Amino acid sequence: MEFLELKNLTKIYQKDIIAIDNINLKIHDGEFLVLLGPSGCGKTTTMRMIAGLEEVTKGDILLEGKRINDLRPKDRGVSMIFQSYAIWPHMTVFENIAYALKLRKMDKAVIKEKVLEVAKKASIIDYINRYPTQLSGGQRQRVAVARAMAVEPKLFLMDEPLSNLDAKLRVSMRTDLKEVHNELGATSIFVTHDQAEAMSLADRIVVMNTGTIEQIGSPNDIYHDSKTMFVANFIGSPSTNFIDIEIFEKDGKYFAKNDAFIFELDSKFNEGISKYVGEIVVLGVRPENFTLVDDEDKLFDLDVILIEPQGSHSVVVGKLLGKQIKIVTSKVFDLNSKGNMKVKIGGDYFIFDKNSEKRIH
Amino acid sequence: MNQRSLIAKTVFYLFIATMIIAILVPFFLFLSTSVYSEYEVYEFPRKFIPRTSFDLKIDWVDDKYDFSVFSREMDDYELLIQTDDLDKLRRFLKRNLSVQKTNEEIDRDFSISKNGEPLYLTYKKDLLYNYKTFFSITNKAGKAVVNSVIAAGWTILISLFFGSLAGYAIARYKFKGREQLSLILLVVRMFPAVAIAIPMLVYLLKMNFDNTMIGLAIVYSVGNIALTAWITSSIFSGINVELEEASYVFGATKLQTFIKITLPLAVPGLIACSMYAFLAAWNDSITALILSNNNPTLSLVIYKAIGSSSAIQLSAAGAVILIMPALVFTFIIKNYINQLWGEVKL
Repeated sequence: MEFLELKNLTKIYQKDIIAIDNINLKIHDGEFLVLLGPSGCGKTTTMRMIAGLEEVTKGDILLEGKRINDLRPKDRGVSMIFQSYAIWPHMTVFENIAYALKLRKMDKAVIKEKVLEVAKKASIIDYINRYPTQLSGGQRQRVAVARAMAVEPKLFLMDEPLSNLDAKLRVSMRTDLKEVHNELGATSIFVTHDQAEAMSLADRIVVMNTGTIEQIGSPNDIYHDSKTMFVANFIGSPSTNFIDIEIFEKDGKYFAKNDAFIFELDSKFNEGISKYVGEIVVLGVRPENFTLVDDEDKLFDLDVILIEPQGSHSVVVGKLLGKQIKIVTSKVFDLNSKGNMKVKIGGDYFIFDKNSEKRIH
Repeated sequence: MNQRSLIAKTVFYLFIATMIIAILVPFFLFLSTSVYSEYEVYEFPRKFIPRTSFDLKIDWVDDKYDFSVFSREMDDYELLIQTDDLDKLRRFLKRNLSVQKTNEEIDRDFSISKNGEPLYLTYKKDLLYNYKTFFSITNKAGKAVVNSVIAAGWTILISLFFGSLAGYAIARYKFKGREQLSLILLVVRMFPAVAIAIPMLVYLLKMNFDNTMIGLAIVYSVGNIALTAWITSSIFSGINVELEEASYVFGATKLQTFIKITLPLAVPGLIACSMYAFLAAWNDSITALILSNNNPTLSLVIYKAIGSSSAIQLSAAGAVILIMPALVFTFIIKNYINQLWGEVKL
């Protein structure tokens, strides 16, 4: 029995706007799951349906084997951190954290003890009697976390909780949230559109697009084994370079060619690629899998238009056949370096069906 | 500072000053008229600053007191009355000069002039004389103040209760005809209360609510519920939905959430909103004239007093009595008025 299971979950707004299209998802006990996707992909709607804030149009939500579709939010035993934090402005930090406990009719002394305990963990104990207006964004965020921790939930829901913080704070809060998760051992579902955040937090990532699930997997799977063009494009920054190529066969070997280059495909593609002979497919190469080389074993010349220094590495932006190509390299360049650079594919690459946008193996 | 911004600033302050004068001058005129004595009302030109005392000159001539008052207009003493009747003098002092003296005091003070020398003395005016008179001569004035407070209170309660429920529904729920409902509410507001007063009177008679404050408040509320719904819907929309959703997730029912989260956040706005209900009830005299003539409100009493009496200083006193509670009420809630526009701080 899975901890949480979504079965054929569907959400339709106003009779014909499909927000969630028949998704199936199993979430293991104690895991940190991230729902990742661009805005409008349905990740937040999915989470809100699990929380009970949104009605389910079709399908089932099973929590520990029990169907919870029709339970009110308060009866689901979940806890949530909202994008806006949703700290109640007319209550002090203490009252905010104690709210849920008071509703549970817990003993006053027990409540106090519990509130102080989580406030200490979230390091907001010094502000316990302040009102939210007197706190900074980061402190409010911590109040939201403390409030969510206090109820000892079975399931932690986090709806883009870091998106309102500045870049530096976001990274440090990220670590804190993961620590909280590890310490509580509760199952967590985290919604974000930031792929770096997803990669660094998740046990498993669910990549969503237009109401469907594109791929489920560990951060490494998702990155190195992207199943669709969407995932290859969405995960990683800069994102995967896509180049149209034509497949042809010669002497039992398969080759890719276009106006700029021609090369022999790795033999692992032999089986999958055979039916694409003579057709156009899409080559996907991650920016770090291109290598800058000397003359002899180059694949093509790249017309460099821009260098983006990143400190530890540089991003080389160039044009090939009118399309932008980005290469990540550890070399350090002068900002004004332009002109031709010689490039080869130095690592792994994907090949996608141009119509279905699915990976060809 | 450059010249342009100097001009802009000057124009701005002139504009503000004009506004303030336009508001304060009539108010001050009322205030000063309300403490005039009868004598001052007929002085010409009328003085902006009322007198606080009168300089009197008493002559004992032909066994009578020649009673003169110093006239600022003539810069001399003006003979007003010749009499030896102390009662007559006392009444004259009271009615014309708002000076309250007993016969004994007048006799004691005035009789000094019997030695042949003119007597000069200063009598203090009773500044509250008109207010006292207003309550003593105007029928039911005291009861009317109580009535007005009750009517305003009920109007606030009724229109805030129903109006805010409607406002919450408009702000939070998507239902069929939601747009139309808020438009209809606005249309209701456009009916003058007088226009619906007669049919309302019929209803109130049937319910035995005629000549009662609750009946009057129901009529006032008709227009105000609509306005309150409009204003409160913007207040409620200004409260982030996530605040309510957080409450649901953390274990509260809808009712608990409304009482513990939404209402406290909306209260400042609701208080400001109550000002409209208060003013509608407090200022109305026409509807009250039709619906509650036998049990009048303060504004109705004053309306009648102004219509029937030629003593403008009494009418002014009544007007000031009417203004004061409204001013006090507005000052109490002035800090909340910003909240009317749905601005809830987080």
